[in-house]
Amino acid sequence: MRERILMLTGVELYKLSRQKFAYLLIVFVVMNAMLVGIGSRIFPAIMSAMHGAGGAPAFDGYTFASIIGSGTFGAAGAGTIAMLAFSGSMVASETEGGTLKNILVRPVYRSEFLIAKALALFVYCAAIVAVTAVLGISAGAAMYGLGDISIAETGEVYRTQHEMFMNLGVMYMMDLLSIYAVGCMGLLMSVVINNNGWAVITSLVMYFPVMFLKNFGVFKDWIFTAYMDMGQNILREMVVVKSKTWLPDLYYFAGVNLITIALFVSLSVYLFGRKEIH
Amino acid sequence: MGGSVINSNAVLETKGLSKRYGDRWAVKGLDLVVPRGEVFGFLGPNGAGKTTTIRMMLGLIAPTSGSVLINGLDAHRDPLRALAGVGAIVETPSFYGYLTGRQNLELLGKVSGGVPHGRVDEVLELAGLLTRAEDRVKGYSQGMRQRLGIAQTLLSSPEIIILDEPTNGLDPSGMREMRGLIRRLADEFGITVFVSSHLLHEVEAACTRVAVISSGTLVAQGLVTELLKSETVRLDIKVSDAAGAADVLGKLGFVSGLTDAGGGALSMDLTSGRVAEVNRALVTAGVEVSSLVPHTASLEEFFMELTGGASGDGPVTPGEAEDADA
Repeated sequence: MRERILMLTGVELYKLSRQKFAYLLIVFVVMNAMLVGIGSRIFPAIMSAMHGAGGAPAFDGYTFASIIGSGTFGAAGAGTIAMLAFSGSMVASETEGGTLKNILVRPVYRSEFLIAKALALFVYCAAIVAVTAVLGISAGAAMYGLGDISIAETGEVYRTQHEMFMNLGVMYMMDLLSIYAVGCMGLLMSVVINNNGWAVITSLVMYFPVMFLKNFGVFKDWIFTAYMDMGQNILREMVVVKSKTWLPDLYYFAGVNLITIALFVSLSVYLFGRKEIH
Repeated sequence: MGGSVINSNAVLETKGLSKRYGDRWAVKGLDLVVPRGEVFGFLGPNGAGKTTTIRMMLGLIAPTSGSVLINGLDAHRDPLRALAGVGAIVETPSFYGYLTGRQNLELLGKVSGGVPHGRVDEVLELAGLLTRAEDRVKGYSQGMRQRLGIAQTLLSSPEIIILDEPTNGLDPSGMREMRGLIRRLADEFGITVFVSSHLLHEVEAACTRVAVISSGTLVAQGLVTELLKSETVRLDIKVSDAAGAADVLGKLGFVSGLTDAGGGALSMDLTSGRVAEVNRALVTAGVEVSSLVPHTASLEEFFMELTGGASGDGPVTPGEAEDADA
């Protein structure tokens, strides 16, 4: 079974690598990260107006990390939209196009097919985050260097370069999990809705009420959308608050997101197994 | 299928196969036996339940009751082993348009569990697509897509190929090509071919055995030659002396329903196998026979008799709606 899942994941990634759409979405996310990240330094007033009070220019410490922090903040929004557009069409496009039948009349279980889709989606999310990370760090390094963060007036080292790289690593992992959880929601919509266009639109539209739920006390602790910006927010605070650490926020974040992902994927597998393919 | 009798010569069997949508039966109690090595026609008017049956055979939809056995293996309980020996096209063959014909086949070969090196080239050649293998599928004609569809069914050297209306959307030459390809698969490669169609002449021309379905129910099943075997033959003749010929024929006990169409043309019904006797009797009596054309019952006549001329009045399911549109 494991071999078949890996084989199917490979097939999914091969298909993905041949689609322009997949590359365009990565460009979209990266451009957003670059524009917000670099733009917030070059045009602080404009960015402040765009983000409102307490927005991107409120970052402190003019270092590569702050560029990345604000850039990833922009990437998370774009990444969410990109993920919903991508994952919403993952199964529905095959259902609508008839290629799903070509696969399912072969000796593979439906659960294997869907798990392979979910794994390919994870790899795609990782690729988006990786590209954003490499370009973000490069842009930050080009503008400010990769040195320690220090207080300009006193020269006191606030965070060492090593510390900042560790922090960035954690932040990118959180970003990956957040975007993937959103992608799994799109995958579920893609299983439920046969029409590709409607599946993508429904995924995008559904996200907003789900996101809105975080404003209600009942949901605010366990809805995954409440944790979407946590990585960037903690990183920003860490640049200016020396005592700030990742724990224990990280436990909540990981717990809620992993449970959400498991729930969306399990539900998708269950519903796909019962789906009548016409 | 504990306790059930397995027909060892049958590569595909359905037992009491049924599918209900709400209170309507799309397919009801279907018992099919597809013997190994034959081209089996699955005939029925649009909306009769052909595509629904094929979808159940391939596990795309679950039957309400009954079972599908492929090489004796239950297609729903043991789909992995059952479908390992099957190649199929359900309705229009669909491919990834952004990939080339070869890339599509390589990809589907992997999903089938891997195919030997060179197999993709073999099936491309068989389908007559080797020269266009590096072109993207989105640039293929309907006929090329159908042939690529056949090629993908052959990737894993299947024992049976299930084709749902394979000539749909093809021009006459494409239809003839497809018929030839189907016959070749059975004759040269010994592959059992199960082909559904609402086109009677297609089935008559390509198939050795046929099952007829109407409104979701099986109405006949057997060898085409047996189903068309008839006790009587309609005979058209053209003679030099119609009146004299009528006298001679009137005395033959096995001739009935004699009609004079004028100009020396006569038509009659006679017992099967006695056409030569008619000719001999006329020539002996000095009547010159310039034409003698016996007509055996066509599958079309047989089909119309069985279904009462049904056309698209069967239960239309979500899938059959597409079938009916074809």
